[in-house]
Amino acid sequence: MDLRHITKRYPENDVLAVRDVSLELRSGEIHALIGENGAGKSTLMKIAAGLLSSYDGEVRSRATDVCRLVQQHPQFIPHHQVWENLFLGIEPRTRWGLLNQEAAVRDFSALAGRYAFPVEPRMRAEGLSAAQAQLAAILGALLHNPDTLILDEPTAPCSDHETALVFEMMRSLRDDGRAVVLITHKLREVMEVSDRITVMRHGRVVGSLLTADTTPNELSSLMIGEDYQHSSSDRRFGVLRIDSGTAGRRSPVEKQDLETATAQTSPPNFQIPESRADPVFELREVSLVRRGRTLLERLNLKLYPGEILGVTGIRENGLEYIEDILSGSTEPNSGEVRIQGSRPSRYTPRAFRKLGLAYIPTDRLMRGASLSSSVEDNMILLDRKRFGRAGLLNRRASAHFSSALQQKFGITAVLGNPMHTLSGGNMQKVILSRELSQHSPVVVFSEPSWGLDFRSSERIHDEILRLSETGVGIILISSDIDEILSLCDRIVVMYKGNFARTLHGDERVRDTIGELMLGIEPEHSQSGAPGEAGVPQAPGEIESKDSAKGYGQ
Amino acid sequence: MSRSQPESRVLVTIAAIGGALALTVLLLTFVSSTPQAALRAFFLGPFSNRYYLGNMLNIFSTLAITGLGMAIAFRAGVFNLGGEGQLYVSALTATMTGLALASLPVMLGLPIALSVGILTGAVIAGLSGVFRYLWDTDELITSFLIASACIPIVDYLIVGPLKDQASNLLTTERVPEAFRLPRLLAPSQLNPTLIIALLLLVVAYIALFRTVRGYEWRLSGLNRQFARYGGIHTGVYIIVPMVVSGALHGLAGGLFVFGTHYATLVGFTAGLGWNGIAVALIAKRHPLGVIPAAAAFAYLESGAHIAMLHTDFTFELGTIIRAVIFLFVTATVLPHSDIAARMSGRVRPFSRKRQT
Repeated sequence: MDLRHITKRYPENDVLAVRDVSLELRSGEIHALIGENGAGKSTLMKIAAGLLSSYDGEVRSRATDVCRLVQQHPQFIPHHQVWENLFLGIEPRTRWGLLNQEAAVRDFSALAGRYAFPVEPRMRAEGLSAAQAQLAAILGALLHNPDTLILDEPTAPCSDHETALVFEMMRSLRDDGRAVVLITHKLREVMEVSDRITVMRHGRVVGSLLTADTTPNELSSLMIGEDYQHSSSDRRFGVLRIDSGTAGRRSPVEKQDLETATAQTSPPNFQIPESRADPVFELREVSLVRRGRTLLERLNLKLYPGEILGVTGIRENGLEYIEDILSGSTEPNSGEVRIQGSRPSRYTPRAFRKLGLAYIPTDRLMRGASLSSSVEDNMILLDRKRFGRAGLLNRRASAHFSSALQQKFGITAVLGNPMHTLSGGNMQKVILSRELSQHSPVVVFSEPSWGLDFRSSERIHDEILRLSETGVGIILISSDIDEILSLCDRIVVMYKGNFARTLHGDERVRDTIGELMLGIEPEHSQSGAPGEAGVPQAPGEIESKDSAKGYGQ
Repeated sequence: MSRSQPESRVLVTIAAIGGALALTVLLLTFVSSTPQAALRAFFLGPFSNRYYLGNMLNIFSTLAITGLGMAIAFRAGVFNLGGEGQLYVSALTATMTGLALASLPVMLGLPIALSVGILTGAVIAGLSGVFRYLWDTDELITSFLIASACIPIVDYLIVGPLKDQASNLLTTERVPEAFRLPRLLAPSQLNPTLIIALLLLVVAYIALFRTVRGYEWRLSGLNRQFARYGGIHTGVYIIVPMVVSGALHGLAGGLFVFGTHYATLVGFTAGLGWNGIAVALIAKRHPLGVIPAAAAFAYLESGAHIAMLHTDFTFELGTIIRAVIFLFVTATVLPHSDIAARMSGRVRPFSRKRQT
């Protein structure tokens, strides 16, 4: 397939998404298309797949060629089974012209089996985890037997294990002589799997290279347009960081600004605890059972002030349930939760928030935001009572508050516009600004950098580190091992609804975590009883008085 | 919600009304033997004298209250499909209270009778809210079923034990003269219900858009999961909107008795509750939008009445015209509304699970 001089303008907001781009997709090759959010990757590939019609330029391909695009956040009809969703339009028939269910299920299972994708054809689509949904959508595209397969951020919801499956599938398609396109902004994946790389920035192609001839540093500087290098000096464990060489290296938000602006916008609703000896958040023997299935089993966890506790694992192994338990969205069947030593009156987000918990959810579109409400209405959610005067909402005060938050977090948005007009990064900033305006002593982050580009996730990571320095206890739920490794003091790995192990200090190694996620007990296993995540670790600051008890089994 | 510009949506609605009117003219031209007279009676009749004008405004008043009752429930994301029955039952309880308290002074008796009507509507609709809160039953269905079950009971009571033996009509006794609301534009039926309706619309607008509770109310309707996540007690915003919606229908029923008919007649609600849903949808669930929506409905209804009186225009034709207009207008409104989403079991962006 050959794309020539493609230009695409979105008239609604007058954005030039793609500017005069030419691109050649060769069969037998894995082509990575990389760039920051909004660089025009997805738009370009929608044009290639024939999903957008009005554009300038030319798409050349053989008439018989099939091109399938697997979009980000695949959508399904929730009450229908997986195969019903995927065979829509290409249903196999019996010789009487009736729907041949057996053939469909058989074909699907064969395909899923070939790539070892753990997706059941008879399962209802609403029961799929985000990662399974992604894999199912890929299988759906493969059912069409495409000559060109385009995958838009296929690994976003995937753990390392599923990512490996996807890559294996891509390689096998390549070896079969097909063209595969991977849209992503994860450089590690690009280096691992692709043959050729095209870098886009602001709608233009800024680089086209062979993977063998390039380095992650070169790619990131092309993507960002600034020098980008590995630096381990001022981050705890060394992650990629921007070094633009000029003053004010990223957001205009520096620590002092943050503190003064916060003081202006809202008086602290909570006190950050002085003492660091008592846990700010605790799970005691928490179990969650739904429809006879044990989803979480007798979990114990202690979080201390100023600590960043990472919870990781493959998402199906309980990450989403632990998110709901930690945030008060779901009531556990047994055990209890304590926030700053108190038991919440009920298991609702309302009760948890009253005790000082802030929460940045995985599901930003449905849970974290009201898309049709204005940005301002999204920002004042938690402070709404403060703007009441005899029951009337003081719009001047709320507008003042919102624009202060907007400045503080550098949010690009018109406050009166609906939330759905915002980009993913700005949306996450709105959520973050709202949650952090509460000065809660406990903050739960769940997959905070999903779908965000380098700079946006950098900012979020900085914010997390800053918060922990002020004594806030942080739980970071993430299936991204790099994120967990770079930020967390302690790491809890979940496997099948249990805390497989808690890792401290030198144990926090990629391979160990990866093995634990898959349920393999690493050979060099040392301390840390299974099911116990309450061992205080930060050296010198906390006495390990609980470490000997060994809750749970 | 729609993603298009508000102005363009208004234009589309106007175009829809225009299209419907053109179709009306076409229908009348073909069906009526005196199309010109029928057209004139239909379109100009309501403005031809005080009597017709007053009656039109009176229909508007009741429709505005029922329309508001629906709109305000929709805003919280709950659906009251029992307006018709709630109005009917409340009219009866208000009538009977008025009759029982005939000896009391008006300033005491009338408010009590109206309150009984309000309470009746509030309880009937509130039940559906409580059921949803407790057992997650769909209030759209329960409110419909409960109210539908009430209608034949009221019919029976009016025809049977509560019938006015002195009258040839199927009606209860008429409420005492002193309790009847004054007529504003005699000889028409227009009465202070109009003022009450307009006041309610303004109060509802302020409550919804200018108060903290209104913010929580609307947010619960827009995204209940988000509201719960933000610490809003979402259970409250299932029950209370149903109660308020029922109360407004109850009030409409009471006022309909004390202002217009002075008694409860079999079937006298004649779709006022159902049309309230249409009004709320055309008003895009906005309290102030109820004014033009209810006015349009009242205009068409009285136009049809007048054309029927003066020409060979038939009742069915009036119904057809209203149906056509409703179809045209809702076709522009519904694709964006949550009722459409709900009716079609919507497909949403993939999310892990449902939040109850």
